[in-house]
Amino acid sequence: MENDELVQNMLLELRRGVLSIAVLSQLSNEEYGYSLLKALSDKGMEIDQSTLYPLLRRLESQGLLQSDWRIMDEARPRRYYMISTQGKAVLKKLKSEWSSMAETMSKMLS
Amino acid sequence: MNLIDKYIIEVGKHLPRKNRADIEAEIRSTLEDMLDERTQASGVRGPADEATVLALLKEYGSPREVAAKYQTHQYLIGPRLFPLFEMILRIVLTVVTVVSFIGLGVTLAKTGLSGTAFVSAIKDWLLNLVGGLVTAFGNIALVFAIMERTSLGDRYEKEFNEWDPKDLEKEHDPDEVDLPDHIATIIFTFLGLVIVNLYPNVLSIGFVNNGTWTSVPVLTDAFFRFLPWINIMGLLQIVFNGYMLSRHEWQTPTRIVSIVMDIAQAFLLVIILRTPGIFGVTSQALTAAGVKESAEVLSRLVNWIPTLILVIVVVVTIVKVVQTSLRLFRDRSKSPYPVLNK
Repeated sequence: MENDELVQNMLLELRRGVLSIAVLSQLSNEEYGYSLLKALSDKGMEIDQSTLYPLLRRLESQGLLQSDWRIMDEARPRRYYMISTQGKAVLKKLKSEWSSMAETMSKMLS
Repeated sequence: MNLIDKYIIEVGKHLPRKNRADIEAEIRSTLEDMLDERTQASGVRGPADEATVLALLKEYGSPREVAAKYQTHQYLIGPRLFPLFEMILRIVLTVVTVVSFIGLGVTLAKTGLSGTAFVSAIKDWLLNLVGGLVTAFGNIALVFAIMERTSLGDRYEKEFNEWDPKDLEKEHDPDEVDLPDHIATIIFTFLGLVIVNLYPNVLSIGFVNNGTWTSVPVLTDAFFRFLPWINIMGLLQIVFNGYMLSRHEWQTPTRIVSIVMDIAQAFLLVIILRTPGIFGVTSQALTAAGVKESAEVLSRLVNWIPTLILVIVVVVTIVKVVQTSLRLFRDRSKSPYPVLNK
């Protein structure tokens, strides 16, 4: 029981760092919050909505995303997010770092 | 007003005013999207029933919890400033407590250790101590909370990050013997002993009265009855400081001796200063010496001296003993890897 809790906490920390990369990677085309949530979920990255929205705001305040409110095909207004130019540059670096880290970890864990 | 409206209002109560409307709109949009998906999946046409809405809101989380995730500052004092906050808090609370104890000592000296005045003094002291500690804590927390939210915190963090290992060279080694301090202690103790033993007349207040030089001795025979004890303490002080000059480094036994000597000296001083009639500068003595107008004021001033010295001695001794004791408990092992000695 104690170990389960420990593992859960460690997984939480592990995911926290990965989520930013995952979100940035899925916003090359604009998405509103709920559609992004589904897109991430479809690709196996389950994320709680109460975690996603604050994360989107944080990334936007850091200049990595841009957003605006719009009414598209339905009558409901939605906030659409898209990766910014700065976000693309940051994502490029993060991707490269992630690949190297994943390779290192694979070697270490094999 | 439906349940979603009420839920959003509840979340909004805990959100920062600046982004409240925007966040509320986004949560509403998401909840409605989720609700649409669920009603479509269940094949129901028209608005969602109450049970579905309730289940959705339950899943989304309590309004306070949802709002908390949007807060940038979820703490009063963050991890970057907390160590400094803790250090300052400890110092200030210790000083407040020490000062409070000194105040209690002075009050009890007047009221005695029994009777209603004693009980009342203890009650007042306790209330003042608790009030003082709470106020000090509140004020320090307030200052740090402001620092946390202003550029002051960023400046502290910047200075903290700009730390250079070369600065360690300037750090004083707490185990190193402070030579000037010990030399000064030996010289002044020796001079003090010479004066009280050989030239006690130097300790007098002199003035010119009608063209004649007159002096009133500051200390009386009541004081000089303690001379053997003063000499023993003084000689021990000189021997100990001389020994420390030859050692170059503080160690556990020398720190213990230092603590014992500090306490013994403070104890002797308290006894001497609490002895009535040790000061010779009384209004009668001054009047007899020809000082008439200012005799009363001067003698009253001199009567304050024992209390003043008492307070200073007690404070200095407490600070010194606490410092030495802390160093004693944090005494470093000679091994750079003390963990291997276990």
